[in-house]
Amino acid sequence: MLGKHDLLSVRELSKDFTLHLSEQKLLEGCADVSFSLRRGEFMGIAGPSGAGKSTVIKCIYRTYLPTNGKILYRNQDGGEIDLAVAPERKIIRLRRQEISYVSQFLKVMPRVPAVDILAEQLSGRGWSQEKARVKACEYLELMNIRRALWDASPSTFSGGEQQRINLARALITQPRLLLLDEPTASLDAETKKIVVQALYQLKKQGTSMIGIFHDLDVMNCLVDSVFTMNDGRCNSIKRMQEVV
Amino acid sequence: MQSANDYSVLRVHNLSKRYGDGCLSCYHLTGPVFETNICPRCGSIIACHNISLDLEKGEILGIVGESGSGKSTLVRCLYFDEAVTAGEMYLAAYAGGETNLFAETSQRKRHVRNHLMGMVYQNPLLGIKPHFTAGGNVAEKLLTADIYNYSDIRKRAESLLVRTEVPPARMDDFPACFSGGMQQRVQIAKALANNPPLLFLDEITTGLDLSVQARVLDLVKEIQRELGIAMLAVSHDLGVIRMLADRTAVMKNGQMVEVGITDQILEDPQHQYTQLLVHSML
Repeated sequence: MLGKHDLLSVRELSKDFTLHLSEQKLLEGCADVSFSLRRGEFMGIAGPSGAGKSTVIKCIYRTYLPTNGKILYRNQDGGEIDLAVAPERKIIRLRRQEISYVSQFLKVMPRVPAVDILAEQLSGRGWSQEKARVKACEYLELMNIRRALWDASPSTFSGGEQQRINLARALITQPRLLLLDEPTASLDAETKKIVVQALYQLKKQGTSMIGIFHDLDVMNCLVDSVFTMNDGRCNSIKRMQEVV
Repeated sequence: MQSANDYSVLRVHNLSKRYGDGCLSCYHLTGPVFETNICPRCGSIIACHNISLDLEKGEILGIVGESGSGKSTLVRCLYFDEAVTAGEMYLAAYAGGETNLFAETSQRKRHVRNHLMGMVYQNPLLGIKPHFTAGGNVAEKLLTADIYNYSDIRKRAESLLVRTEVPPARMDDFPACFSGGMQQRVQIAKALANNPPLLFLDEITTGLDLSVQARVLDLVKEIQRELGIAMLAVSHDLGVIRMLADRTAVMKNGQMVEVGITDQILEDPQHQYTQLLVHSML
């Protein structure tokens, strides 16, 4: 059972990878990870690379199939779903409606203009073409993407611009749960501020988030609690104030 | 049969296709474990064995696998190009989804194919007639779907060709003198003509140059978004599958070895063969 105020509760989550091509070698992604996320909370995951941070996030999004444990999620209708074992279609529907994930790299259809990439997110949710494009432009503006680039494909953009498109694509849908894998890596200080501001706004509108950050300053601005990982395991969960 | 939900479009249950007389060992001595789909006893080819799948409205299911894994045979069976050896297929739009289409008469099958299905072959010339005009090709499909009014046909053909970015000025030209990419888009227009709830795509970007590939894929996505057509997309190209498919099934030696959400198949493949496939990607 989920707590009354919980949106998500991860219980004893483990993920192993069996590498058939390397003599059935077993790699441990994460083990025995447990935490809860309250509605509207922003949790940061910290730890050295290879600690299993992305593994946890990808298990929640079901890009990875969890080996053991539960990932309880309360959906919009108040129902409780175990994301670790929910049917694929249910996961796909949740991804369309409630849960978004921002990866470290942008993967989009080649040659599609940035504005259309954002607008698609909304037209897939029943928005009219024009309204979707207007909203898309708002988000391009918000992310401080130069107007000259709006009709160009993001593959022609700089790394930082691509990352902002990636983020805008998730923000525009105003998800209930947003999973972020280093959203501010490779951004300059000015752009970082823009991104932090956008995430802060989204949080104020009620989105719960889990994000991997290396940047302590960014975390300090956004995060309520910090979950530290090492070697696939959870070290500690602290309120942000205790960390700084 | 298992219960269908409101979204269900297609259900396939234990489809098998064998070329050859077959013997008792056929199904026991072929498959990914034996790394072959040719029966060592009788030489029959087990192109598909016990394939089950289902599709919902607006969903794209990708099917990947190496050449000879049986993926094209599978869609050809579903489109009644080939007769199955065993198995059942149910379409929600036909008889309430409770009649096994493989057991129907060939006349009924033709009716289902003309009214409820669309097919896009790898080779455009399998799907269109090069010496009918582009518009005439689309019209042909409309006629088989019982639309006979000349001006309706003309209008519908034009809007479909515009949709697939074939210039209306070329509507009365022969696809024989079109480029491969444009032939492919005429074929897609034709496949969409009867507004089918179900569309089969067999390697539709293979053989097209990269610039055209991107356009065709974008077109398919657009069609999915706007018309909510369920599609089965066969490809050996994981990049194409990544762009198109919500879920992906992996085939090897005539059997389905793994099904999952596309990004899970690509990032956390479970089966040995899928790992090989994914890790061989450039």
